[in-house]
Amino acid sequence: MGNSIIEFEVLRDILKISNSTLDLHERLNQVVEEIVEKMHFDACAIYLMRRGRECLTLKAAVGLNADFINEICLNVGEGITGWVAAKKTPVAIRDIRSDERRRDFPGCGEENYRSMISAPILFLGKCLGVIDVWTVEERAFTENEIHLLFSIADGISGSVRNAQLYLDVSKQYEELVALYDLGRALTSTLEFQELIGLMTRKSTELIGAGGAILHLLDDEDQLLKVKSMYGLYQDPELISRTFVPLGEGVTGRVAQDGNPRMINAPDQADVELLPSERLFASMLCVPLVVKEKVIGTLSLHEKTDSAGTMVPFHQDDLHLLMAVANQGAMVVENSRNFERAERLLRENTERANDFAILYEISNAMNTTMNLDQLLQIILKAVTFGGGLNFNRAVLLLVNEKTNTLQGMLGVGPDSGEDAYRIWSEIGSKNMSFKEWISSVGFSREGRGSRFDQLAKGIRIPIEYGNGVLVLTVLERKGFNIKNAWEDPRTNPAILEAMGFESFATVPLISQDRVVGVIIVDNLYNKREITDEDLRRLELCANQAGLAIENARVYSDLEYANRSLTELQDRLIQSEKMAALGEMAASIAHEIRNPLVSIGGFARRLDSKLDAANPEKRYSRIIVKEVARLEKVLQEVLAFSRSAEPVFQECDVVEVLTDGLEVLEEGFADCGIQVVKRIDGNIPKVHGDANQIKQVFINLLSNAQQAMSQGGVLTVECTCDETEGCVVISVQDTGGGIAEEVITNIFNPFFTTKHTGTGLGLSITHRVVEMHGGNIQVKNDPGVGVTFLVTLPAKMGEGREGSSLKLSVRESGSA
Amino acid sequence: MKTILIVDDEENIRALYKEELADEGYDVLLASNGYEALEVLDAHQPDAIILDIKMPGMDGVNLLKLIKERKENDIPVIICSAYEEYKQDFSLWASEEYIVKSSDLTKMKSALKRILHE
Repeated sequence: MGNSIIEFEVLRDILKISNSTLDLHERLNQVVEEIVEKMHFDACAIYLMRRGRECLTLKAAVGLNADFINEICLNVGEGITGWVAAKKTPVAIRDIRSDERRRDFPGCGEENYRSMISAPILFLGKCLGVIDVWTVEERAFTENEIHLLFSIADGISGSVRNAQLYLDVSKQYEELVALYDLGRALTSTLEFQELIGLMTRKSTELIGAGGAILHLLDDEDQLLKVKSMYGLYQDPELISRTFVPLGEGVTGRVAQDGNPRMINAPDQADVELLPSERLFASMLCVPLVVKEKVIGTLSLHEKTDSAGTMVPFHQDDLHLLMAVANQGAMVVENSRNFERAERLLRENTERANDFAILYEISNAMNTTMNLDQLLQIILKAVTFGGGLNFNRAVLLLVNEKTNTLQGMLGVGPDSGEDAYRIWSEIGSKNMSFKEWISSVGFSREGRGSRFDQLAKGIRIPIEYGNGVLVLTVLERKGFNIKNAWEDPRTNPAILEAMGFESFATVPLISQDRVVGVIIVDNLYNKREITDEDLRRLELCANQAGLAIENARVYSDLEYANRSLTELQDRLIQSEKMAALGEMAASIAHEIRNPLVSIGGFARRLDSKLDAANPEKRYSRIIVKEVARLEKVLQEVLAFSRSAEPVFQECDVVEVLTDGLEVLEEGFADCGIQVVKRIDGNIPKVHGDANQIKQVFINLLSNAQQAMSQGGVLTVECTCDETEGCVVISVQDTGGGIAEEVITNIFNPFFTTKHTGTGLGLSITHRVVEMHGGNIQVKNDPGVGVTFLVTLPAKMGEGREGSSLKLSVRESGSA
Repeated sequence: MKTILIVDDEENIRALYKEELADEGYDVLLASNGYEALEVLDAHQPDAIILDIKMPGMDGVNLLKLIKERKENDIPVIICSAYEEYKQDFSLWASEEYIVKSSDLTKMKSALKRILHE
């Protein structure tokens, strides 16, 4: 049978072609020519399934427009050819035009034919392509014909498969080479930006994507941030500013679960895409994993083929990108660590420098306890080129008495020329801070400059609304003001006077108290004040705050010591004088009476003697001399005026105890039980111990007399801290005072007793009043009387240490 | 004629006051301490008293108290003492006048004149 011969021949030729060494394209061309020639079809075409995509491309044809080779692309299921590929079964069609599966490509030549056979090229059940034959005449095909075409398809399937395998291998080889190149490139540098730039560029090129974005996870805020972009993006700004939270969008999901994702149909993605991800037709996103931890993602967008047509990503692309990511992640992490280490080193070096400067500053501060010198050292540190390097600085201290902020010192050049001169001088000598401090001394340069004078004139009440300096005190924090005139917080008066434009302030804090403020600026070189500058200024200010406080405490101590010495001197003096005065007084009083008699009678004598009488001279002498003696007496007695109390620090408890001791026997004789309640921490009072003792004795003896038949005397001493006074109460059970006399008890000479002057309570009243205190009486008729004496305390000077002694005594007497 | 009671333990002082006040035209009564003065006051009603403080027996302070308690017998008192330091205590509330003793009696005399509205 002729047909059989042809069949055989065709098959033999096809196999021959398939085994030839010609490349796949050439072989396919020969196959279609062979088929048309030997089997008398009018046209033949071979479609091959494109790698990585469910799509058939026209690869070789006879009788069709050659321009369409490689151009026609059919999805599986699309057109008759696509249908065959999907069904993996040959089909013969008598009238193409009436077939609903038909798909037209106008101009390709297919429209010239009426009938066709289409057969799948199958290899191990997988469709590798489709072979189509056409006739111009409408005709029916025999089973044989169909079978033959199917056999031919079988015959070339091996060839196609081999070619594909070869392609695969060479592609894999290329990829390996590319990966190797990438690896080499990545390890050749540790420069972070260069590395991640390489990763995005290489992966884009390797896979043929439109572009790549590399996100890294920020450990602090757990946001994915764009670190590198490569390729054509319409709005790179927008994309680079978009921070992706973990778990959001494709990128966030990949970073969260570590699973790569391939999105070829954004509408059907299993996760909701971020707006920035929705800009792309397709994307491939893989995690960057180091030691099982995701450090970021690498995304590719919009793959195109060699002709520039957008094609979907394939599983192979995913694997390849994974390979790139795996290789890259480690290197990126290394680089990041390296950069971190470098940064830490840099920071540490800076810190070490800071500490060195601070150490020098602190050393310099410790050289003096003199506040003036200290303030100079602080401001020199702040303005020194090798120190904190500010152009100008003013130090203000808080005056707590007046609640104002007071300018103490300003250091800085008065003009630009001045600035240049000083700085070049310092620069040329290349001095260290220590050298500078000691070379400059404490009197020259800065002292007395116009700037310093202006600074010293600053007085600002510490209230809100008075500018940033005050705000620094009130809010206990520094400010960095960039544009002083436009900042509503600033005080225009200060800005104008001092010429501040941008400046920074920092509080000087000591023991939780703001003791002052430093304000700095860079008026002359206009250098911006950085956070780093502020940090160093704060460090310096902390030191300065302590040092200032120390100097203040020292000066207070010095002052206290001086006054103490003076007080001691005065005390010794007054004791001497008191002894002398007492003696003088007793003598003087004894002398005064006879002197009055002598002088008085001499005056009488003198007045009776006629001026002409020679004895008149004698009497005049006596009168004059007595007058002189009386004057001397008066002066001597001026020393011993005991009416004026001698105020000293006075221990009320001790005085009270002394007073009780005086009357101890009397209490025992009357059968009076004494109850003492004395608090442990009674402050001292300012007063005359003798007078206060007299007060207590008066009150106690009154009580004793009221309880001559026995009773309970309760003596209490407490401290009223809110009022700042000591309260002494003396309570008796002597039956109280009749209501009608109670109002008179403080009147002089009033007494209910049969003995005594009645002056006791009156004097008591007067003494207590002279001490700035008061005395009250609580009368409970039929029960007893309580006298309450209140004396203002010298607060903050308790009797710590003696409380133990007191409690022992108390328990002993109870 | 106004009568003045002088209370002072110093005899010479009493003599001096008496002579001086007599010269001024006053009738003068004398007492050397508080008890004597009370006896005098029982018999007489002087227009003013010149009183020393420090005296044996009943002193000036006690006497002053008793004088002041006799409300029906309101006699102005001038204290005349060698002690300057009691001035604060008495001048405010106890007596009409407090004078430190002096050989020059001008002050005492003018005080008397003022008290007696002369």
